[in-house]
Amino acid sequence: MKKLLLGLFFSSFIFANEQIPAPPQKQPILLKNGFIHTVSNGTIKGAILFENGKIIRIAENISPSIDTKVVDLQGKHVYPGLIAAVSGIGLVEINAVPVTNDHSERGDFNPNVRANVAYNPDSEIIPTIRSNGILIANVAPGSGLVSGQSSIMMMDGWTWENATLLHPSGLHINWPNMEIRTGGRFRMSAKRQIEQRQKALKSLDKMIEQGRAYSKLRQTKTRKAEEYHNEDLRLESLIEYVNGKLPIYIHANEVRQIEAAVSWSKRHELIIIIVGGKDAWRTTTLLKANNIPVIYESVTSLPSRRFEDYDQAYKSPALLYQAGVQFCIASSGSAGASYNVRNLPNHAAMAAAYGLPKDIALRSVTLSAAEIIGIDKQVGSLEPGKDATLFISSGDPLDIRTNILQAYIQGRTIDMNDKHKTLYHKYQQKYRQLGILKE
Amino acid sequence: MEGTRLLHSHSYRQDEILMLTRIAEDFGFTIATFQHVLEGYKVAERLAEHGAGASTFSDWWAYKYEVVDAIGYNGTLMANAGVNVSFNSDSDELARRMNLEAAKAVKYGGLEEAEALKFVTINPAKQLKIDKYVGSLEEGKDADFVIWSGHPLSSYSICEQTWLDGKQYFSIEQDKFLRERDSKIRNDIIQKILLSTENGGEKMKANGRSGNRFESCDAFESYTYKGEKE
Repeated sequence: MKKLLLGLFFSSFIFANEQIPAPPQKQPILLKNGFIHTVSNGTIKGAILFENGKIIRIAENISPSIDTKVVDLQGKHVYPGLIAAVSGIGLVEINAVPVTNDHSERGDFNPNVRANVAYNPDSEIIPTIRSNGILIANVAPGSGLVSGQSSIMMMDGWTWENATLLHPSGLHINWPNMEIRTGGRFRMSAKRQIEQRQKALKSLDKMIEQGRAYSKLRQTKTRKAEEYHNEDLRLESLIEYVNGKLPIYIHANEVRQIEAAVSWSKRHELIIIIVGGKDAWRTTTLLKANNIPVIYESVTSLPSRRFEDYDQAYKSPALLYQAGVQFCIASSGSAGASYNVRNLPNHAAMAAAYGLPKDIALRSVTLSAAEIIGIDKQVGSLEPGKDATLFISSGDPLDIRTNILQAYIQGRTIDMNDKHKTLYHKYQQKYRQLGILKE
Repeated sequence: MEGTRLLHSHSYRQDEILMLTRIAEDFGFTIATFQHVLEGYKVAERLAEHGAGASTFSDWWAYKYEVVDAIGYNGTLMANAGVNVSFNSDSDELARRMNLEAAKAVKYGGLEEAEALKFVTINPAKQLKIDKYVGSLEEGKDADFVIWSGHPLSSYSICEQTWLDGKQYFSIEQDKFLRERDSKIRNDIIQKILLSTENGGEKMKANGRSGNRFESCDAFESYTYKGEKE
């Protein structure tokens, strides 16, 4: 009976088989009689009004105009859309089928690669992700040493242009492996490993020097004609990064990688963000002193070393928080695992189970993520003037058992169906036909 | 084939499952459980008719073509069609939090919480034919149990104690003691190493990362947990 009521109650929401991208918000929408979890300003028992894609007001009582669509929440909850701070969503469809993958380019040095042009807005993975409340993802390419530039995508849109919230959001570097590996199946000699590492580190220094020189040349007013012909797309795309205008995302998990990356960024005066950050708990002093944020990807991982606690990966966010390091929580940003980004809310809950305050856990997948990836003026919390990118849920979205009932992206009413729900309903029909399922 | 041993079969797609149940029936034996069984929800009535259990999981789709129709609702659909369902994982990381996997049967398909908890307790015990010993709290069964800080399906709950055969194998308090002990041992060893070079001893070469994650604790016998009875 409870389920039936829920069904009737939300029957006005969209639940189509085709998952049509939503049209722009045409009329003001008022969600009332619920709990509005603003993230930035506590929880308000009341209502939220949004119009033309923007939040207008949050208050206990809001009286709607005649043309406003009113939704009675009946005590349900409203949260800002969750943010996947790094991910490969839209770049990979089926990991083991190479023709469906577009997250890698040949070579080690591809700063000119941009993620959003490769983003497939019709990926079947996208609706399954937003079904769990993730409405925004920072999508990044993943190959080589310098992978390319990421784009922040909204999880709905007809084309990659519609879906782009911000481009570029940053340049991605896979920091060279700093440890000497021995044993097991690993056969490369220590000498060769060190050579490779030094070569990679030198090329990163060289990249910054070349980028700077190129940037200087481009700013020179009295350029010779041939210099215009020597435009280099790869160096061109580095200008904002070498000049410290945009952040460089350093993918680094191991402590020496983090230390080396911080030293590199200081030497060249760059803005960096650590992505992965599995060992970040061991370098909190360094990270805090240099104001370097961490996108922590490792909640669901095993201890790295024998002396680490069994719950090290779960409690690391709490340790970062206690040490005052700016951080957010992401699921694995590996493009091949983008389908599992739907579990992101639970990563935050597990961090809360192991010491992170609950409100900070929620913040770590909303506003904290928005701040680190540079979109907090627009999204990440429920505040007047920000995008109406939010969802209605049956309860705490970080708990696995909770369901997301309806999402809005920039005020647009999102189709909440996905491939999995379609198959679920299809096979329910089979068992109804067979008389096995009664309802 | 004589029915003296349990037969478990890995499977993904419905055609594989159909094929093996038919062959087994031709030869007069039964598959105890289909493992992974990601498309079990498509032929749940066949699994039930054959008498096979299903041991599956909720995520991990879209990584190869055989699994593209894997859905989180698999467990619930099969359970509702009368199949004995359990959840498993072949990831050592994921396998240590099966309680949260069980919660996914509540999320995907709205299974009752008590039924979902069976996916990681009595149902797998039945599949392995060890349900007379474990899988539920009943008089006469092994004293194997967990003490949780809250509802085991809540994402905010943590395991506080585990007991096997009536003996405590883990407790948060004991673990806290062991952490302090180990960190002391570690620091002592590091100090000794540092001192040995200062005293003119030979410098050791860094060994790098070894593939061996687990080693015997026998070397540390003298540091036993004081709260534990011998």
